[in-house]
Amino acid sequence: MTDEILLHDDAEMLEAGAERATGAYGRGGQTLSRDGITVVTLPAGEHVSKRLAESKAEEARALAAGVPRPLLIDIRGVKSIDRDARAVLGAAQMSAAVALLGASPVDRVLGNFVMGGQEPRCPVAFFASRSEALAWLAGFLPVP
Amino acid sequence: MAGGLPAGTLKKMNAENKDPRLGQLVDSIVRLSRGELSSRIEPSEARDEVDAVITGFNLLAEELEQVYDQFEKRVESRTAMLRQAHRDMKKMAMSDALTGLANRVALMEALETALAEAADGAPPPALILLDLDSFKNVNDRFGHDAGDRVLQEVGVRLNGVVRTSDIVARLGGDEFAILLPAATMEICMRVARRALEVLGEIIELEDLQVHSRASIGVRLGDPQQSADDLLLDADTAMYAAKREGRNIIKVFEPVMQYSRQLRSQMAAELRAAIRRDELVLHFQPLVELATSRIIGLEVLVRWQHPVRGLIPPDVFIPLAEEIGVIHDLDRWVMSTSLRHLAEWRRELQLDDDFQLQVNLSAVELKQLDLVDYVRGLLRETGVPASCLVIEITESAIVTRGEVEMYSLLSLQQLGVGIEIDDFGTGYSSISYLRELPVSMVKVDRSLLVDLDTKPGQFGFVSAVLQLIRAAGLEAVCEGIETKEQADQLRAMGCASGQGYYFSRPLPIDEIKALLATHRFLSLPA
Repeated sequence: MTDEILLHDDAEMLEAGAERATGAYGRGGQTLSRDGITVVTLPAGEHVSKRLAESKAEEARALAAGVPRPLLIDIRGVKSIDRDARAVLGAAQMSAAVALLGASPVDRVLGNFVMGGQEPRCPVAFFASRSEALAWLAGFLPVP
Repeated sequence: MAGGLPAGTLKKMNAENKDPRLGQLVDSIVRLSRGELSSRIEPSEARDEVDAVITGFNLLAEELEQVYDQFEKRVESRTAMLRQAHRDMKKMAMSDALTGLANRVALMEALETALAEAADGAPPPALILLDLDSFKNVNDRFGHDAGDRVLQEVGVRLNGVVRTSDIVARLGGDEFAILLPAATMEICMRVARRALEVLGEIIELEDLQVHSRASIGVRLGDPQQSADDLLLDADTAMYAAKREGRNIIKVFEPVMQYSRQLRSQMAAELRAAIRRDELVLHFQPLVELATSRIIGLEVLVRWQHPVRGLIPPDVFIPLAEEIGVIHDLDRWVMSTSLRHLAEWRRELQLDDDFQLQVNLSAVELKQLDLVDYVRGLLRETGVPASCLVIEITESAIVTRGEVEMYSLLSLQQLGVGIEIDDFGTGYSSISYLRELPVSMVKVDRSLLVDLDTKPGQFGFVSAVLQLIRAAGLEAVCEGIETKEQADQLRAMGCASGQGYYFSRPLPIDEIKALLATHRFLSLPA
């Protein structure tokens, strides 16, 4: 793994997930499970606090039920992620693999700060395309 | 924090080729460089590369602020730790580890402060010095652990008799001090008396009881005095208390200083006297009561002082013990007297059982090389071991220290006789003596004083002698001054004795002349 999380350029940057509830990037998206992949959506246009990060992490843990699963964190459009929140999200590396989904150069910088700073404990990559991210994560699903 | 720019403004600015966000970035970097680590820029809604740089700037500034905060906190906590360590070290350096009391350094510092305050018009400080009487016996008899517990208890008791402004210190060993800043003689004496009182109470430690009485010296300070002088004066008063009988309080008087100076001068002279052979030996004949045959001599040491004349042993022996020269003195006596005996055995017709009785101090019994020394002397002089009797006091062996027991047993195996001196004045029981390698007991002169006059005394002494014999020991009576006493003791079955009735102690020439001409003493009727 390089120092920077891999960036998968994609023309479909504006592709919105089926799970997105509202808005261009969706607002206050809930945590879902899609084909064995946990999808965590951070609210676009908002500051992500530690409290919010913890509630998202809790939702993801509840879905995973103790089994390491591939995880997609959608950070598209978030305003900022504070230091404590980054520490909580960084702990998501207990998953099978983590894909960070961003749309803008700002998302890319934020995503690298979320996972950066220390050697990742699971495969981590940054994607600008949701479908590519999901496809990459699918490779980490347990063999049936 | 700079506000975010609307997308429209951004486009306009971009058209003029002047992105205002770059200016904001420059300003923020300048603020950051000045130490304003909370400086942040709001990214625009464009979320383009410039916003990415702004976000990166914000995140890095946050990291920097966090690291700086942590660093500050760490420096703060390390500084606090250092300060605490400094306080702990100071406390350690200023307190006595065993008792937790102030130590000598702390006492002297407080004394100097109190003297400085007195020089500014405050009442003068007073110093009380306390030395535990016979504390050494506690260590010898019960071990150092018990001794330590006694010292701790003494510390607690002393703390209980002082005012909150006073300082109790342990100066080392069994020596304590109480500093009373701004004191009067009345306050000082009240504290000293209470200290004497609480130390007079028995200290009970599990299975042992200890009397920890103290000799107390008191000195009310003079504002012009130095702390060292004040301490020395209190010390002088304490030594006066010790000499005057212990368990008392003495207030410093200038005359004590003179007496102490005299004493320290005498100590120096005594050291020199041993080196210069100024000590002389006198010999008192030991007589077989039935026949008046001279069966031996007790060796007695005197100090022939060049100015003060002949000084008796009761003046300089305690001094020799106090200044630590008793060992040299004992060995001088032993070696000189054995050389004399060897000479007389060559030149005179002495009986084969003629014995020399030499006193040995408690300190000497503790010397590991004592036995080798005696063996070497006997070999060198050719005097048979059976011709030497070593006299020890009861107190020298009452603690039954391992070295003392080793010394006694080894001397006995060598063939040297062991005699307990001054029997009847101490606290040994006959059954206790039976367990020791002792062959003779010298009955103290005080038992003979009223032998002819006091009703029952004859029966009492007779019973004592019978007990000694029943224990398989030989009795020797000292202080026989009259024919009646000699007759009575003979009638009681006492075999031998000494005293002025037979002969006073004689200097070397006279005793040699006596031994040359008399095998038996001719006694007054």
